[in-house]
Amino acid sequence: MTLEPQENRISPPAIAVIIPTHNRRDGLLRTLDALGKQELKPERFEVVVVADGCEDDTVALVRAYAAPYPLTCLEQAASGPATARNNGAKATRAPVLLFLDDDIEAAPTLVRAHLEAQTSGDDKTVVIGYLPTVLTGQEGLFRAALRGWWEDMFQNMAQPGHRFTYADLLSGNFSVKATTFWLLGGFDTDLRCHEDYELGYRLIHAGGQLQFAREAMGWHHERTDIDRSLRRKQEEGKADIVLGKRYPELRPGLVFSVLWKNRTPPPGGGVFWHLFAASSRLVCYAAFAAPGIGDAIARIARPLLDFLEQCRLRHIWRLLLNALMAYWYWRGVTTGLPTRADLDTFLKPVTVPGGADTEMVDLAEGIAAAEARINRTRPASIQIHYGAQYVGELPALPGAEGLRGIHLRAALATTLAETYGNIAEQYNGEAV
Amino acid sequence: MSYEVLDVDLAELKPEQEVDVSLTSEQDGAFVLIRHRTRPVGSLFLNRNEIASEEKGGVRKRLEAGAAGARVRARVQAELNWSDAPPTPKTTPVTVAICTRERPDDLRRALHALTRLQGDGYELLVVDNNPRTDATFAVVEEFAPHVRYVREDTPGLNAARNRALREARREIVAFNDDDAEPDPTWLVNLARNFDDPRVLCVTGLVMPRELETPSQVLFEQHSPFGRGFTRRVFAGPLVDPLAVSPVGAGASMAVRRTLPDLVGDFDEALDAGTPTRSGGDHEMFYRILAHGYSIVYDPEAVSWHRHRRTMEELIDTFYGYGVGVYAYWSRCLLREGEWRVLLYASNWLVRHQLPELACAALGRPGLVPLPLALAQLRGCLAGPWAYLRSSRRQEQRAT
Repeated sequence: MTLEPQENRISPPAIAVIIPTHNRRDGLLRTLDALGKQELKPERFEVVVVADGCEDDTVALVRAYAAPYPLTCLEQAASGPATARNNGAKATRAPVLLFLDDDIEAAPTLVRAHLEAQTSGDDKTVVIGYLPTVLTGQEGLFRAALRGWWEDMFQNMAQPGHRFTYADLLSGNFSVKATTFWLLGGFDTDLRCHEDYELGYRLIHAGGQLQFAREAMGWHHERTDIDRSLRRKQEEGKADIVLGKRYPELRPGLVFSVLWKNRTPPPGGGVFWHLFAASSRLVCYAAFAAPGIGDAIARIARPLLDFLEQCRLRHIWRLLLNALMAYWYWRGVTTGLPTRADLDTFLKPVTVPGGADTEMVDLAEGIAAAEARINRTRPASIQIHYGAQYVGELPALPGAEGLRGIHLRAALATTLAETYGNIAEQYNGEAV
Repeated sequence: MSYEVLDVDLAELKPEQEVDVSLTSEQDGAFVLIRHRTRPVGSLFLNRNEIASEEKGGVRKRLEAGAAGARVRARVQAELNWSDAPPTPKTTPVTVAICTRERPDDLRRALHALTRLQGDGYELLVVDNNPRTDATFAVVEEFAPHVRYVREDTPGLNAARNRALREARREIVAFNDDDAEPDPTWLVNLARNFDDPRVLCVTGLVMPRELETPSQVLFEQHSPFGRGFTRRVFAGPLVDPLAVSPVGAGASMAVRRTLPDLVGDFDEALDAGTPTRSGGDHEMFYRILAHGYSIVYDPEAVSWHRHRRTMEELIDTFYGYGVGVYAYWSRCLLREGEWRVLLYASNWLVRHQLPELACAALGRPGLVPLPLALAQLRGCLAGPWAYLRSSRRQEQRAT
């Protein structure tokens, strides 16, 4: 790892932008250009690019780049983004670290928004920025679905009552205090995928306060296509087993548990659900018992997807896409759990030592009082009553932040609105 | 047949206060839009007997029951300071466009309503489509300088819509029919839904302005514009783009000005003023969803539509609706390869149109009257050819 000398300065920059990159010199160039147009004065931040085993001219490009801000280029042998980010973080003395991916074109407000949110927060503040998707080139069902997935995620995070979980930590655009980052030991370099989820878990466990800042925005030049997505599924399956082994309480929420449940159609489900369940069972079986044949069929089925799209058979297209994704995900799972018996054992419910503390909330005391209490105690789960009547509950969610008053309010206003409203009317003796 | 149209906000009633309904001797009852703290939660037809009943508070109880779950939800959300919809934007950079032709009195009423809109930074635009006289121009002059006038000679509502999109000076274009009058909050409630970059179109709730004639009542009973009282998001990747029926009505919709760049122009072979009579809005809803974008239905954006008053006009409207649906389906089939319109057409025929026709022929009450059902079917038969003719005409105009 070679280090470029930093400029002599009186005080270190307030925030360091750390960009791991691997053979994407054009995107990186765009990213560096966008960082040159920040509202925040260039003296206040610095940029550290970590070239992770780059075989193109990335390093030469960065070293020759005339940036208005301090720019450092580190080189490392191909070791993955986790190592690259850790090394980038080591190379700066800035108290705030902003991790940015090389396909993000920062809006002029990005760095300032992160810094402001971090300054008005405390040590535990983690700020996640917004990444609107730029779909370059073809449209098509997959690209629309992909953008939908991203935007839904940000829309959820932007909701006032959103309960942050480990999976909300997106390594493409987030900031954290350097002290907290190093207290936790940085990213886990053993993981090649979902290393951000893993860090997210440890952050939340250590009391990290995740928040979403829409102004901390960058355009995401998303180039993932179906094939890249399918390849990645295998990595994700493998990574999720590592996560599940290390943190057993996360298992019910990880994708393999969901896929496992999909094998049974919901009661009263129609033809579509039965087809879906049948295909879920088929791909799970094939991945474990007959991967050779499964792989061959998956490769043949791939062009069938394009044909279905041409024929405007959207629902079947989606069924097949989900089946292919699930298949490659299971293939990744088999690297960690070779047989179905292993999987069965793995999926057995795990009791969390110490049990989750469930707080009882009585709405008769008033919602404001209840909210204040929850904000103080931050319980893992709450059970809500109105006097003697049961209203509902907010169950414990592994890997999620402790509950806050706003979560109670959100639940009462949405999922529990009619139950709560009807009970409240009974108690008040009248409608309205 | 005629009904009094009422707009009742249950939250504004004092405890134990009854809802006062006074009918003239000709009216058969009342049609009520039920709100809670300005939020629409339900609607109800009340007949004369139900209103005049001896029971104290009977009308109010019926209204509360009629709105049921939606009212409770609205009440709880008002108490908790919560909304299902995004917050009201500080500014409303919207061009409000009325596409109109030779309806000066309706236009004047609509413009009066539009000048009372809440919002900051919007502009008003009237697109006069293929006019015979300068009546529209004269009405717009009465409102000068607040309303811009533009004349579009290519006949057709979609041609007028495309012109509005080209002439607009703001990022969002809201379309209001010349026979509709929006509530003052209509504009801000449409505009607030455009934060999500996937949203290309927002539709609102359309209620009847008056129910003074039998044909107006029939229209409201059998093919109302309203799509319910719950805010819904139709996300292109997740829904069947041909299922446009629940999405809303073109009589009250807003789109991004960049719509043509993303999914193309409104098809000028479709909708009023062309042989295809209607369907221009449905086809655009389909195209937005097919391209993977979203449409939001926001029932808090309320406008009041004056339905056609005479039976002749109503039969003509049902005919035009049949033509429009089959015309837009023809376009989907021919231009987009959507062979599933054949499934939709047969489903509509077999599961709805034929049973309705049979019931109407047998004189069963409660369903569509025979002349209307027949008119719609005749329209469907004429639809595909109407589209081909209209399309050819449009191509000839272009060359």
